Amino acid sequence: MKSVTIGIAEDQEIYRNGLVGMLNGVQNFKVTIVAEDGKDMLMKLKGNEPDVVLLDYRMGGMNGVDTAKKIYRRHPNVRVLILSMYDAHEFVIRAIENGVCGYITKDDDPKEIITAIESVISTGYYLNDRTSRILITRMVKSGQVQPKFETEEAQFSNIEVDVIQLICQEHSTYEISKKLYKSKRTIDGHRASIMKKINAKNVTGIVMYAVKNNIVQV
Amino acid sequence: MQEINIIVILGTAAMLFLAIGIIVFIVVYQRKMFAKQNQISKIRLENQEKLIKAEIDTKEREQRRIAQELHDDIGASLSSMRFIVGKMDPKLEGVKELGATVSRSTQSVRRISNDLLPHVLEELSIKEALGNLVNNLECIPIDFTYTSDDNDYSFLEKDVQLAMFRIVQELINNIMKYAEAKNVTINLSRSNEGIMIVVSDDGNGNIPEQDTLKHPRTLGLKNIQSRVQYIGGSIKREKNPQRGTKVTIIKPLV
Repeated sequence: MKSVTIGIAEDQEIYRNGLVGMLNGVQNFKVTIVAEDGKDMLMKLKGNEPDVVLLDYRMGGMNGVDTAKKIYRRHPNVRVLILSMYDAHEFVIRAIENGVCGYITKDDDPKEIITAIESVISTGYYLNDRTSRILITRMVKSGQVQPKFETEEAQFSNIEVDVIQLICQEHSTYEISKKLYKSKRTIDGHRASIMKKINAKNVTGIVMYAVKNNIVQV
Repeated sequence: MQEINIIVILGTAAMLFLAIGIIVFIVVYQRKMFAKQNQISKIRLENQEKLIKAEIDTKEREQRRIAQELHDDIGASLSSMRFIVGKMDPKLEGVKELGATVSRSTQSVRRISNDLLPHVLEELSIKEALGNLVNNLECIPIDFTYTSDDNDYSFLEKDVQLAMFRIVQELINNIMKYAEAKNVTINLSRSNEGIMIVVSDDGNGNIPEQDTLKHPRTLGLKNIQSRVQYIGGSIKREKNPQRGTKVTIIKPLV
């Protein structure tokens, strides 16, 4: 099987070394470019295009998104993932607007980086729960998509509304159970009941519904 | 007789001359003193402005330094620890907790560094930063609505953007503390007058505007005032027709 080639631009040496170490330990993965910042990456890309490039957002000289923009234009075959400490919506949106295929934060499980690279290779992009929520919320808000639901206005109990709101605020089931003083199983039950009421197949469906029906403010 | 007359006339003329001289002298002297005093108070004002500017610059610079070091140094070290934990056998005692603790610490570092220096403002502009500020206030029982026009604001100096951001932060703080408002709207726009931010609430209108006995030297108000001076702008407070307060901040563009 052909191995997956990866480029990394990261200005913090300690993190860079850890990342290179982990990725080179994955079967089929091979780190072919290690750059200290965006400019360094652009230089090293000439004549040596890897399949995927991981860019830190904040870097001295040229930041990740400005670098991504240039890569998108000069090396259209290279897929770019942003890997950053930042988790604010504004960064995710700015990154996607500039041709980035996925956005991962550094406090996510490092295994997610591997999943993201695999996903980018097989489907061309990687969206996790958080990024999908951010993008869908934005699209619904700006009227770019009009979510349609087969059911008319569903009726929710108070606790279900609480659960919906907490889901939209990106809390995990465990966090929600702690906040509402319920067991994890109870919350799972509520979640299932909410999805059934609005015919949603996953969390994204709940978020879309909530945004559309003003259950949450965005 | 004639001699006496001449003497009287000469004397009178001399006295008159002297009197006029004295008056002219006094007027000129007063003018000079006045101009000097004007100059002194102008210098004093300038010095005061310089002092405020220096104070804000020093504080923000120090905060920026700490924020960046926290973010770049500690943040990177903590994130890189995730790789080490990832190599450990998850079945071993404490490995899962270690991973969770490292993740939580990373988030704390991010939050603290963001409080010291808003990441979104630093990397993007005040336009996105205000959106982010409002977004992070979601859990509070006040509805915040933020709107902005399509203009690009990244041309503004970062220091000025930061000062404007801090003003809005303080205004929101005061609304949450005193106004008992349900809805707050924040709007950023650019017109011929300059950059304008309007913060409007539907609360009780009881936000202190000055340091009073009841609100002695509320730090927030001093912060707002000094930052308005810092950006060379103006601030205007009005009562909303129905309920609440409307605050308009304008930063003229030269």
